[in-house]
Amino acid sequence: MGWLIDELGRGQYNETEALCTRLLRIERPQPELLFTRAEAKRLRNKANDFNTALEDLNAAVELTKEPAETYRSMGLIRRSLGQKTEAIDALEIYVQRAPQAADAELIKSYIGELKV
Amino acid sequence: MSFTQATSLNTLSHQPKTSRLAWFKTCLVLGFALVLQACTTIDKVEKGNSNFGDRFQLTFEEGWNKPRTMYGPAEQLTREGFGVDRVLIYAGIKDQTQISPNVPGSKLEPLVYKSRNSLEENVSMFQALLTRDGSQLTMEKISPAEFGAKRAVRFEFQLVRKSDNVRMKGVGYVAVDKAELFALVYVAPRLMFYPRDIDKFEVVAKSAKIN
Repeated sequence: MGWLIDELGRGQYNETEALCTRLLRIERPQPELLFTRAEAKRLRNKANDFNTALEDLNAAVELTKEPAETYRSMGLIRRSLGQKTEAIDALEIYVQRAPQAADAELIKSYIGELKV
Repeated sequence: MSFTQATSLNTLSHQPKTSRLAWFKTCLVLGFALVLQACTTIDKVEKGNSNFGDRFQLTFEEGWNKPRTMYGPAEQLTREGFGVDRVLIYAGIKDQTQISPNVPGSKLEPLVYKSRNSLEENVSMFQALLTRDGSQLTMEKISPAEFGAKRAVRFEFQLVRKSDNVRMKGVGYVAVDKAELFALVYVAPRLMFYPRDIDKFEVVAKSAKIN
């Protein structure tokens, strides 16, 4: 998972999407790759990116053993789309599963805002 | 006269005229480049208030060096020189502004500030900016904060600089107001410089005013 996080950190989202798509084609579907592709789309945020990112995230959850960050991506997309309840549910799962995450405090503040 | 000098003069005297001309032209260009570098102006930010852009003000309790070179749209400050420490100042950056500096021949996609980005997306943008040269960044903490009396995010990170493997540490603040980006990012070597100057940076960050 570490190298995929580094790959996302480069901010070259078209390349990351292409890389994950290629790897998903040649290897069996992996939740980490689906999450990374979804996260690249979320951060790129072009037309239809949120919808296809959600498809990847749901597919990652169906495969099980999805990384906790899957729920952060899901929650942040739902939050951007104004889907408060779904956003809260997903972000709460993320914070429960990754209480020590670097951004846990920020995500908790988002949950608090969404609940108001 | 040293052996090298003698050899180079000897080589020169045996070169055809056109080749000698090219050699002198190269020397002229190099000399001009050196003169230009020597002329790079460094201003001083003195104690007191300083304005950046139309809407951003910082208060300094000590002097900082302020080279006139920009890093993309960011103004820069340093105490020891860019090889050591650096503060990037983003003052009222407008929607769709390119954040990453133009590097000739680079195939990397430019980084662009989008006003619709959420605060954590802006943090990802700065992460991408700081790792653009191949440096490796680990985000240590991203937390809600106040910056310039606006809702903001504070982030802490460690960075292994690609060029020399120096371990750096940094802190950033990001806020968006009226669709404009305001940010301060400080980075310095983890040993000695960061612990020595982080409090000074925090004082500057806390003084931020967004008008």
